[in-house]
Amino acid sequence: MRTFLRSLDACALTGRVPAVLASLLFALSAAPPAQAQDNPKPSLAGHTFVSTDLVPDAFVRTYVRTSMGTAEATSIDYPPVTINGDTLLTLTGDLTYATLGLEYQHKLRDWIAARIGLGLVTRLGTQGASLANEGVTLSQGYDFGFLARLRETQKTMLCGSLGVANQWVTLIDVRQYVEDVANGVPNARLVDNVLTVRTNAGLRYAWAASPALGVTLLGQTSYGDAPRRHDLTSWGWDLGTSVDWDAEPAHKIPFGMALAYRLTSLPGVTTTDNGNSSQTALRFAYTGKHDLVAVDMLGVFNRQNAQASAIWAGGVAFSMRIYY
Amino acid sequence: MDKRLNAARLLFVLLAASAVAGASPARAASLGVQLGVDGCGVDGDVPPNSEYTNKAGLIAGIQGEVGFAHGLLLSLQPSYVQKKAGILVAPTTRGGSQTELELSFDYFSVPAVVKFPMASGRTYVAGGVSADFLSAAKLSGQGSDRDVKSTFNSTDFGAILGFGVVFPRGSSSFTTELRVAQGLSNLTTGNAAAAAGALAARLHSYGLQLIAGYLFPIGRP
Repeated sequence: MRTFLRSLDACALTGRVPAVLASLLFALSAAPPAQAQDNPKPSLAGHTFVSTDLVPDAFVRTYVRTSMGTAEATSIDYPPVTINGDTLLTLTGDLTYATLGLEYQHKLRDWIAARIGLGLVTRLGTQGASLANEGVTLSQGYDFGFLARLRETQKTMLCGSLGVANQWVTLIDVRQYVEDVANGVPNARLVDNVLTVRTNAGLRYAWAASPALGVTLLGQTSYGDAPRRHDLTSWGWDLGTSVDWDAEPAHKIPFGMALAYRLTSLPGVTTTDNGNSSQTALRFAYTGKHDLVAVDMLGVFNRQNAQASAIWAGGVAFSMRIYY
Repeated sequence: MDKRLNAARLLFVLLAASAVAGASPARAASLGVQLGVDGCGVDGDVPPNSEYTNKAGLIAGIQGEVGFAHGLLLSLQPSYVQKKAGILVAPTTRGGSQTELELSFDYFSVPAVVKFPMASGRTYVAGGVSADFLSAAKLSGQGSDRDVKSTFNSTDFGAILGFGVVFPRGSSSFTTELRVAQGLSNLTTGNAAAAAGALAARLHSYGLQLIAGYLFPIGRP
């Protein structure tokens, strides 16, 4: 489910910092943009890009974004729980995910913008078996960084990003706790908090294929605290692409669609490294002059702590973005 | 004195000297002082039945800034930074009282930030990095203070994002800035944990800093 969080750019939300980040955000928003933008939305060669939360756009713009979503994975077969050699009955279960995100990007100059993001993702087993196996996970965090324009042509844009993300993963793992207690593991913990601080750098590329069609690519690498307890530090990467269609040029309708895909090497709201996970989003959006209101159909292909193979989850998200 | 501390000071003097010497007549340079409050404590792995609380520390130092391309300002702010954290330990008996310990760090910090002036120079956004060199670390609250410097790494690196307001006063100016400082390095050495066959505890400094400064121009604007 990491990709869910990735869609929020792996933000974190701890202590008092979020409140002050919000204050900074407010202060930034109170200041006028560096220059008035003729078209505040990301556009090239007559094409206005339908940005997604999954694959961020490659434009230095001022905007604020909020999003919330939910997804569910059903009928997951869990492996048996073994306590002191006794195997308990295995059942199928459901998992429910919820996300919440807030992001502000401020254009400081024509070529550079600063951004701040906050995010929250929860994962909850909603049946006995899934609750016992997966427990409850809460991932929260904040991140901040800069986006700079590196190269622009009539139809293409290349930007580089640099940032820092602070993320807390709180795990309530009933199964592990019971096993640890039964097996006499010292200092068994029902609740574990794992802090990760990672720096990231990436490239974003946008191509206006035609007035109606646009393509966005993302490549990003990160380094810092490993999500797994067994490692101190780790490298990670993210790859993403989105194809978007804007109905405005041909049909004069403020409507657009985008299909986005993102693959990440880091685990999601787990601290177990079970391999890559990915997410797709199909976006339907109203595209006003200064705003974008979207509904996303989400598909999540992810691995969980207790699962040897990946599972699917499907859901829906609501997102709103206002450009200044 | 720690060699790294001396190296950092030498680096700053060289950078400040080159920045000031390299300031062309069209690019203003300023020097000044700054004083503030550090709200950065530590966060991360805690001992059993404990939690960290942030406490206020002192920031005091000098600052020098010079304009460069695109109307941006490069600012170096070598400072003494005191970071404090409380450790609240839950009572071991029902009805007992909490025990509070205090972890205190003294750093020589060298932030290097780029300022993006806005609103005709009355406000700015600052972003950059800092290199922090530990000069002392002590744990207090249970009898005499304990020197725990060997438990922590001597160098920390951090990322900074801040928003400031400038109050011009003639050719000089007062500045106030609120910034988020996020430590990137693990504070602990992990030596004790490694000896016990365990992983190092994961600790980072993070939090807020509120800084007031005074800048006066040097050279020709």
